[in-house]
Amino acid sequence: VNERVMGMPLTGRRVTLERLRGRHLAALYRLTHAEPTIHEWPLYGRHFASPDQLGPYLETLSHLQFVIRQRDTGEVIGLVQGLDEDLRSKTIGIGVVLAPELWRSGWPLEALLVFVDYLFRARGFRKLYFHMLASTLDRVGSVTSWWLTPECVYRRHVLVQDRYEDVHILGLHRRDWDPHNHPLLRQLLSPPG
Amino acid sequence: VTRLLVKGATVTIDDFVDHVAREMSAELPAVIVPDALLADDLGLDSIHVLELILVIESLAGGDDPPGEYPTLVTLADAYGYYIRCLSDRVG
Repeated sequence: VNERVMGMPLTGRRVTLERLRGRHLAALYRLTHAEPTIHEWPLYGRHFASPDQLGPYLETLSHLQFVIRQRDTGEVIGLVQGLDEDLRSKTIGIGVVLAPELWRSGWPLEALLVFVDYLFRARGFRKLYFHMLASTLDRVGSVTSWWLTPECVYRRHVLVQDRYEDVHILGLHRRDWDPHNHPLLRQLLSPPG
Repeated sequence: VTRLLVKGATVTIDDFVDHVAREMSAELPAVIVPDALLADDLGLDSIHVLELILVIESLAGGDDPPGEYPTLVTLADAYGYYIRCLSDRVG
């Protein structure tokens, strides 16, 4: 299913975004409750007994959220969410969870770029925020050399596996997001057909 | 290095490494061996790996990526993926 939302196809080369629905919850439950994802967003230390309990919780976090599906198999491999939307300031936070076994694969991050493009171009947001644990930043730290700008750091802010980690707040302004002027983004966000 | 060359390839692994080092936003070590681990030896994170995949597909000249979901661990894996992109294009 190549879903169009507000006229935009939410599709990359290898992933597609699809509105979160009840049928996705079993797969998302496995993803979010697996080691080591369970220690990170979006559960914040919570543990739900069943997928049915996870759904209402995710709904309270965001009304703008999509599961990430692998295009060839349709398998649910993650979730992207818009968090703490501020319509007055046109800002929103971004949450991403991916299947742990795919963290180093690179290609699933297409989903993040497709989502960012959608938020800027279709939803008209002015600025996006990413909250990243220090350990997450180790895995995707090069985003700061692409577009993201460090905004601030919450020191020893989140308890992760018995120790407190810093949380880095990174920002992305719409004026710094121009897929047409970035050859790799142009390649990624304009799939043929 | 020779064992990695595939008949019909237009770019050798040495040229491939040079191209990747030139095109990637990451600063790579001056000397790179094919068995270098992308994460541990070259310091590439998952965003870099996505960038590497796009650089490879662009180098292979295809607008449409092959129907593959690559798992790249070493630079040799990356070169192998490049060769498969070429084959896919020709095929």
